[in-house]
Amino acid sequence: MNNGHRSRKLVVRSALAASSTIAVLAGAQALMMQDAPTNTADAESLGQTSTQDLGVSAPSTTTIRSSDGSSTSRFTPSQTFPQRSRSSR
Amino acid sequence: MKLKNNAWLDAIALIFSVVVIGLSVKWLVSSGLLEFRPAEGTNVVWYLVRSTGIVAYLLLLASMVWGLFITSKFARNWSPGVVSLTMHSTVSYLAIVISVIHAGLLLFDDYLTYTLRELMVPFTGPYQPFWVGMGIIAFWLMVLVSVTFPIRKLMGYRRWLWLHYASYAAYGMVAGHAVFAGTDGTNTGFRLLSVGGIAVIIMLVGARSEERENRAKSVEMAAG
Repeated sequence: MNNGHRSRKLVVRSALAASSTIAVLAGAQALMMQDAPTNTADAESLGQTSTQDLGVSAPSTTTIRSSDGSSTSRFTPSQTFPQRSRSSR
Repeated sequence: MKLKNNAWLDAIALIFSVVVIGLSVKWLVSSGLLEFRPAEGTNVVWYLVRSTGIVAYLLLLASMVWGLFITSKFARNWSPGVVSLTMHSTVSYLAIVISVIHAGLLLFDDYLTYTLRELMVPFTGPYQPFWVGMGIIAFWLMVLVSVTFPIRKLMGYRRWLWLHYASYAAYGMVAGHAVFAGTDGTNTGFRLLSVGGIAVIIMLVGARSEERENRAKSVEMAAG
């Protein structure tokens, strides 16, 4: 095989490998950005709805305690959280 | 003007490659991807699983469409050239490499815990075993088809061609796997892309079949 063929093959292979790698990274970034505003908006609207419907002030942070009381987790309505559920897979 | 040795297709593939490299570099510099930092608590592995799945699917689709194109009547006077054939095989190999990454990342995902055996043996996994199993079978078919690229002369062209037809089955299985087991399978854009891809493949297969029928008729008529 001559050098011309070899270098042309190399250009094609490099281009395809580079574009595939970038597509994977850009795709992951796009999916993260797609999920992030939705989750934030959902969390914010959750806080607003509870305030309006119940006529009480929604707490800025909610503390959830596990059933045995051994651990707690804190949830702020405006925070971003990953959207992961079995049904969404 | 008809150039010898499929020079037109080679030139198209080469120009496309140079344009892709240029656009990739420009986009990398201007998009801010290199400075991107995911939000705290984001499961990056899960997003990479999804993006590698989509990219592997698109590469398989591209490989099939390009493979059909360079052997169809649209390129009647061009036998597959060195560069265009390299493009076809490279896209197939990349589809396999990215599929391996897609599956391999599941080993590090904290939501569904797959074992290596479950990723390699169809219908044994914890999530959607049938459709995930279809993806695994499709992967092994893709491997089988791709590893025979370099040894097609050794195998005999006819035998290799029959084996190559397994890529249609692999594509069907991958499409089913993506739509019914993938998170993004319910995305309208992804479904339109799948339907569009299948339509293009059917169109190219139809064109190729018609060409073969016409060629067979010509041979019969010539024979008397």
